[in-house]
Amino acid sequence: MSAALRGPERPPPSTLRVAGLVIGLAVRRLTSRMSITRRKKPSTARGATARKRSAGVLFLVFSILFLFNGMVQSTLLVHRVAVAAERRANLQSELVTRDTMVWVDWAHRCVQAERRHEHEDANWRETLLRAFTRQVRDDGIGDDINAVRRISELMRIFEERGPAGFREARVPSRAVFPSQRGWYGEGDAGEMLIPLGVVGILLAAAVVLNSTASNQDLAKVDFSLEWWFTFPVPARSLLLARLLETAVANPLAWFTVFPFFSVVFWCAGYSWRGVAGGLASTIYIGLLAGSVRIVAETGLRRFFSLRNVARLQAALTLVAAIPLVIAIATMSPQWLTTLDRLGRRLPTWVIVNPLMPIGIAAGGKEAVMAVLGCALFALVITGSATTLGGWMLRDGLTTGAGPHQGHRQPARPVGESRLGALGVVAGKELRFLVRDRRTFVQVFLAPVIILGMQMIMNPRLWRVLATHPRHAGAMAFGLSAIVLATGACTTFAVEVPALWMYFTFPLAIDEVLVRKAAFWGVVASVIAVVTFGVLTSADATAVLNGIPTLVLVLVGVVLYAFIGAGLGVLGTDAFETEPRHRVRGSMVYLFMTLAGLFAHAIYTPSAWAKFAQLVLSALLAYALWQKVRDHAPFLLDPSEAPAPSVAVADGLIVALAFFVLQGLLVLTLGGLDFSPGAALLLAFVGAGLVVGVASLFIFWQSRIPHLWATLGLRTPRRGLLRGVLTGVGAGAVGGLCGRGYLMVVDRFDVLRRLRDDTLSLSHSDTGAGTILWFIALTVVAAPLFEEFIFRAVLFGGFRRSIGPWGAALASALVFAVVHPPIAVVPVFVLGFLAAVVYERSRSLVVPIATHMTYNAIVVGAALWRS
Amino acid sequence: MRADIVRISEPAALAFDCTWQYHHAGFHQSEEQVSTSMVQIRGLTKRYGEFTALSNVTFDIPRGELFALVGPNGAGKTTTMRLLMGILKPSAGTALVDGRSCFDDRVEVKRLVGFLPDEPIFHDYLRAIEIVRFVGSMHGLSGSEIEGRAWPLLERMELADATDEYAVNYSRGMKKKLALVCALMHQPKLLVLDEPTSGLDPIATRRLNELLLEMVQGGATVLLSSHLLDQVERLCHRIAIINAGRLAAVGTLEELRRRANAESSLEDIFFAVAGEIAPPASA
Repeated sequence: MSAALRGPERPPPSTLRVAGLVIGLAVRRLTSRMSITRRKKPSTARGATARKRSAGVLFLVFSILFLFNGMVQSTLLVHRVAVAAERRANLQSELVTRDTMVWVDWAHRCVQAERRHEHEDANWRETLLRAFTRQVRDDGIGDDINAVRRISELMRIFEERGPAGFREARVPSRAVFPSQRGWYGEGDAGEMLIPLGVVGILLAAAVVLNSTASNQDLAKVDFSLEWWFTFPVPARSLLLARLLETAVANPLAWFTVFPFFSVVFWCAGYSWRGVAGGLASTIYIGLLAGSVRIVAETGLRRFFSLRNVARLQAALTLVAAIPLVIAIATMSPQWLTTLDRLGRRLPTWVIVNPLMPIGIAAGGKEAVMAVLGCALFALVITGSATTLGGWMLRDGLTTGAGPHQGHRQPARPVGESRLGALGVVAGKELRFLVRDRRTFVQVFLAPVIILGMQMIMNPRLWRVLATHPRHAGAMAFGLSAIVLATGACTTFAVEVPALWMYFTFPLAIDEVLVRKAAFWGVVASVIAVVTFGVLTSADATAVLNGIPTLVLVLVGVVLYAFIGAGLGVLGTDAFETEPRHRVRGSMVYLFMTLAGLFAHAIYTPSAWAKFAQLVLSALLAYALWQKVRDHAPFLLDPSEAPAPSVAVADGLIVALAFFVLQGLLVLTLGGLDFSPGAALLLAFVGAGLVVGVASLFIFWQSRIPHLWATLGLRTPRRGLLRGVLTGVGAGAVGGLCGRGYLMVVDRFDVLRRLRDDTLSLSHSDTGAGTILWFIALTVVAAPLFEEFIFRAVLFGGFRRSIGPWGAALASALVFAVVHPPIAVVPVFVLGFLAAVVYERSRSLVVPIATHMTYNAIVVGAALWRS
Repeated sequence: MRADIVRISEPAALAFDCTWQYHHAGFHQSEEQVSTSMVQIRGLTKRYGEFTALSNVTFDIPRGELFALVGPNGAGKTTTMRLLMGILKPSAGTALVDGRSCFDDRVEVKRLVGFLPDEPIFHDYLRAIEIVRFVGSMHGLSGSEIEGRAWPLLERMELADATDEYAVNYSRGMKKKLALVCALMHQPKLLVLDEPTSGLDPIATRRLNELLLEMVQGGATVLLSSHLLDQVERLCHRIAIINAGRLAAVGTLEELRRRANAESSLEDIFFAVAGEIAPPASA
């Protein structure tokens, strides 16, 4: 009876089968996450709520880029080590290229001929100097003083010792792709193996520590582990499966260890078989990492309280970064030399022994020993780690409840506090920032590591930054941008699981999000101020001179906090279950690209470029937040979208497309047989027509209600004639202001020079034909297209959020910024007047009349004067 | 089978809900309706692409009523509640709370409504008391108001001893109770509770029921969804049965019984109205 109840006995699956299943699952998850193998599902009842596409191609491209980069850097490293080894082996003579050697021999023959008075060629000295200059450049001495010093030293050696002082180098002077010529095999094998072995050990340590420290929250039992333990499979099989999973699915190992060992073995003489060696070495180090990981996963929770496990892991995350940073720092020759020297102080067997794959590079008996040693050690450590792990799990997976332990005790009541909503949101954010180990490390440690790396790799940077506030400002902004890319861009994504709460508050969601953006603005500003202060602290005058730069940096940081948070909201998929994949990666790249543009504005000396960049960044921030506001009510609705309307973002895109297209057309038409004036006009009209028609089509496609009326494409409210007259009147007022401004310009030397510069740039040849084209452009074409972009789209986009007056000011400001600096003031007035008459008439005809009249007056006056 | 559903649900919907009155009133809201109904749902429809989760649902909840939504899994109960909270936008029809549109006037509506989701998830790295204070502050309460209201509620939900614990470490029932405290902090006029008793122990369930009755006596309105039919039967004034996104029946227990020609219990009515599932043979 009992046997019948139990059902037929089935043996548990074998360990290998379990490992296969688990790894298959990991690969399946990885590929479907990257959507590499995702096929279109047949349409089902819920087909329309399908998820957005993820960046599978991007992942592939980046993987290839990382691998390629790893290969190139490893080749450079091997080459550098080989060059150093060859130098050490030939201390008595100078190593030069075959080319230089030929010239040295030739010069020697010339000298001998001179001595015999057979033939005099005074030019050998000059030719040899040129050869030595090439040699010095090939050796990578970029510094002028050092180069001159080195050349004269080579000359001296030639004069003293002749060709005997030189020797042709075996290692080529440059190497990009791995080749066996890049290895120096003569002399002591340790010359090559010790420095490369040190780097190998560092990379292995980085992989082992990272697999343990950053894979998951060690204090929390991994969900998949907990699930697996419900199956009738021995713990040891499960742990082995997890170990193998770590060994195989380990991006850090594949992007660093694999290219490194492959290149080393390739160069050491194994050629393409070296790649197989690299593969085996990667798996071997992956197995070590997996073993350490499962022991840590099972053991730490048993022997420490969960709170201490979390602390230990936070410390480990920091420690894990160190070997990786040092390994990368070997790209700098000084660090390589230092590490090499350090490695030599240790006994050789510490670095080159049968447990280290680097021994394979030695070839012969040593290679066999290394292969056997590694294989045996892998078996032993894998076996003992699973046994140890199984033993530690004999009483279950965990001893506590959760990752971050509060106390089961009542909290203390607090007294009266009036924080207001900003303070409440900021308080919550601050708690999260301080308590979440990962975010904390990303926000505060990443800038320190990046700055430190820069300083280590390039010590001269410190002096440059200390004395040039603009450089220091760009650096401070860059670090803040990195903080924002990790903090502000993801500030919405971390809220997603608890987003329902915000829908219960009597507060619009976008208002909450604005407060979060403001919080990150403050955090990033603090980091910018501290960085700027540290960088310029050496020089008191630099601090004072840097205050305007610092102000620009802070304004930029706050703007970019909003841009980052806005991009984060728009790029977050609230229905994604995997937290790490909620924010689209492309949004973060976009953010860093935009931040790069602003960093350039900080760096550039031109005040006008700074101002224009500031206005455009503010416009971008506003455009994004208008979109966020539109989308906020629909964040948890999988099917509804905001009603279609004209937005500031549309204005931004239309204007950008117009200017880019115009530039491209000018370049293209310049190559054809057009006069400059005609080319300019044609480019302007062509770009205007394409952008105008395309934007109308897109607006029509997105079903904006009352499209023609929305874009002012209708007759003025009080009739056509009255509308045109109003427009001409406003244009006349603006034109007179412009005339007055030009008279003021004449009185000030600086302004006059600025005007003359602008004029000489815009139309250098002033023939009668050019003037006609210029009039057609300014009086007819420009008003038509610019009014559509800046009034119909941009002003319309602003108007629905900030009302007619704010929209008139904002659109006029942007309109002014895209004009030459000298024209900003009158063009701003024109933009404002045009917006006002457009608002009153609701028809584009009126501002077009205004713009035409204004341009006619200003251009007419200029022509009359000349 | 299909004919059965039509036969049962159509007259049921026509006879004893406000639809009838609504159809005859010709879409015009009378003054009386605005003042007596806390919730007015008119032709409410929600489509996710081609899938219709809720189709043309119409009912009213008068002030001070305890109203239950019952129906099989996936019937559209949670969608109805999310529409009421302005989390979703109706594809067609309207949902009004106190005469205000749940989507267009969502900020105003939320001053009046307390919401308990089916599976409350809280922020990582926040202690329970910090969450309660956060919610209170977001509703514009002062510090002393928050402390004054939170502690009695926490005591009543038996969470007062664990307020210093991180909310993510809470068990499912504790999370539910914490979410309930959050929903009650601003003393809402309407409570929208999605399966409030799922995951609660029997003691907490009884306490909750007492609390709901107290609130209703105090003039509040409660809309809850539940699978515990006997509990609904004992507690609620009126019941709506939703099946496959359609309103199958709405009314008091008596009305439902009369209409469905079913035996005494709500379970029998549920099976009769929900149609597709036959009652167990032994019943």
